Amino acid sequence: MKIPYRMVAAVDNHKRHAQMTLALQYGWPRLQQEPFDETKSLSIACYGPSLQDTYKDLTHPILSMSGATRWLADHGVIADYHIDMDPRPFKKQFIDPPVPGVHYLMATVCHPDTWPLLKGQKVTLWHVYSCDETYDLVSSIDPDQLVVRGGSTIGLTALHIGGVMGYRHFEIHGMDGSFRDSSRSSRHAGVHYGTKQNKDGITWDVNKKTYYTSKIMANAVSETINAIKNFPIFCVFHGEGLTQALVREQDHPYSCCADQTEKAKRVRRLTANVMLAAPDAKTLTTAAWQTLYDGKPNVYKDKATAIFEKTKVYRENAKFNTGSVTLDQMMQLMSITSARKVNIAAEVGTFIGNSTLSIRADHIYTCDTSNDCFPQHDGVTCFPLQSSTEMLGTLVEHGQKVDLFFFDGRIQPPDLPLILKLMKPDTLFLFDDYKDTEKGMVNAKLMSPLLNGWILLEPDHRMKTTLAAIAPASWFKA
Amino acid sequence: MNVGFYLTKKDTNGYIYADYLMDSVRKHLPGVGVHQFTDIKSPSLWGVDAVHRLPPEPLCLARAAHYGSVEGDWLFLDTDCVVQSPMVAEVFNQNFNIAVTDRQTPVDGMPYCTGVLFSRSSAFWEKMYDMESKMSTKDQGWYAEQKAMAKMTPDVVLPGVIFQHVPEDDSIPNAAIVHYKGERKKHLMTRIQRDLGLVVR
Repeated sequence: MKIPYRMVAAVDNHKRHAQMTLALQYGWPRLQQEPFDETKSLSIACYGPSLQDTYKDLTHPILSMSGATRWLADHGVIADYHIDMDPRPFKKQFIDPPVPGVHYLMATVCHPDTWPLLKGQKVTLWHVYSCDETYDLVSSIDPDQLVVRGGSTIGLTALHIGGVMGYRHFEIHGMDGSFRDSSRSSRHAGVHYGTKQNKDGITWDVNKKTYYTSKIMANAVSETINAIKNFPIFCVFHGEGLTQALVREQDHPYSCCADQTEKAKRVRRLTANVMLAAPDAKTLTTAAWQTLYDGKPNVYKDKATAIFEKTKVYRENAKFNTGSVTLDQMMQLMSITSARKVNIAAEVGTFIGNSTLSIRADHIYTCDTSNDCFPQHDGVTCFPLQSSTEMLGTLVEHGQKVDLFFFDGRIQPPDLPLILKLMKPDTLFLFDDYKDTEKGMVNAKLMSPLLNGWILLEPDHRMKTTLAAIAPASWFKA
Repeated sequence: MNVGFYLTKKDTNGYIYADYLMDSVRKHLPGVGVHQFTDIKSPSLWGVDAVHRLPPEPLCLARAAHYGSVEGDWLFLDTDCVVQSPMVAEVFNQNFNIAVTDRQTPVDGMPYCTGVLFSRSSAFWEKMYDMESKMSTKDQGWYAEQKAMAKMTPDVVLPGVIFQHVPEDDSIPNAAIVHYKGERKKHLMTRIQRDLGLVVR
């Protein structure tokens, strides 16, 4: 999402850097990167007006900011952490006096008047990015410490600080990005000492409702939407405001609103796999496909073309004449099965054998419920005019284990337990026709409950292919 | 003695659970037949000894019709049950038409959980069918069988903690039959994958 308005820093970079230097003289510890724990969740309490509506749903640990920390304390909720990174002097009013029991996570850039107020409190410092020179400054005044590049607002930066603390799961309250209503009189849950931001007349319509916002808030909302789309974090937003409306409208897979009950349940359970990105890949998906290939699938073009020519004649004997895999898919199959040793492959949907002959395996079992037009080949056992269940059941009875499944036909419910018994912790699953509502999508959806610890790779957009893969996540972990 | 379960293609994961149930019966009750009750079109589970088909009806009516269509000693189980002991067969040494289990956690108006049913009376199921068919369509959903069973009088009530143990986690409890009902199916899936040596996060 494009950031709609030009951003202007509240304080110039020279002054920000000077304040960073001054903060260090107090000797407080620095925030260190903690390992990610997929099971824990952090509640972020921003100071938007909807905090009034949802603060009773906050669960510890709570990271609050701005006036929210004091406001929550006044309402009986003591936050675990308070965060700030604003270099302006008025912000000290939010921590004067500090709330006992709160751990203050303060950016060194905060105004020098802040620090005397926090003497005797639990304080941890961190450095926030102002410009590229910030890296040089930190390496000279505080070597080997982190610089956090959070965003234009403290709410957004709280997500990044949460990441430093080892959190990927966030329950976000009060991150509205909008006034309570058209009067523009209420921008926060309680008292705020900053500018009112109620003069620029900015509105934003989402799902037929007008939200009253400002340039600064609109920018922050855009940054938030970009963050939840692009970072490996899982966010459930509470309350009602512009941000929450956009989260609901955009329906990203890893974030939602709390009242989207089913999705929220799912988002809270999600975990992330960090993947090794191939140097020449532009996206995670292409990086993942590069991990599956033995190089560039294009090198198999001649071999794939030869198979294509050879199998054409088999169509004449087909009882049910249908489509076949594309040349690109054949090249993919060759490349993938050349990259890793495949002892046993099982294919559902033989037809004329284009895919069968593209798979490199010691032995291939293949079935086709409608056809028997693929002749006998070495290293291939055909189950002509037989269902996937019949083939898979036979393999189970013979104690086989399968390294690669290729599905070019519909998986039937009775196949599921058989696939479970045939698979191994490093089995690769490939699905043709992964698009729209076609069989590849249906198959992948059917298989997903079985594959805890595998990840889905949508088709490699660089090729003419609808081939998707579900591969062991361990293959991609950094 | 035979073991029967009701399974249609609407319940795709049910095929995974039923397969594990079947394997548990084969292990602990060797020689016992495993039967699938289903509708006209749903595929059969690979390896079952027999498939019984009747036209589709609301769940409770379909189950009652099937259970009333067979004679002899039958253990009717939900697909998300696992048999863990041969002592299950010893229940049939008692004199009863219908034996049910109580609930570990009582539910108002539904004292018995019908996920595990020991039956040797088709007449009982004809009465159940008759009672359930008079319920509203809404009531013929998932709990109709439990509500109807509460109005019938089972001859024997077995301890659920042994014969229909509802686990709290994915550890394997010391019970003759475990029922992974509702949300606990995730524990059953974990158990299945663990047994098969598959990696589970």
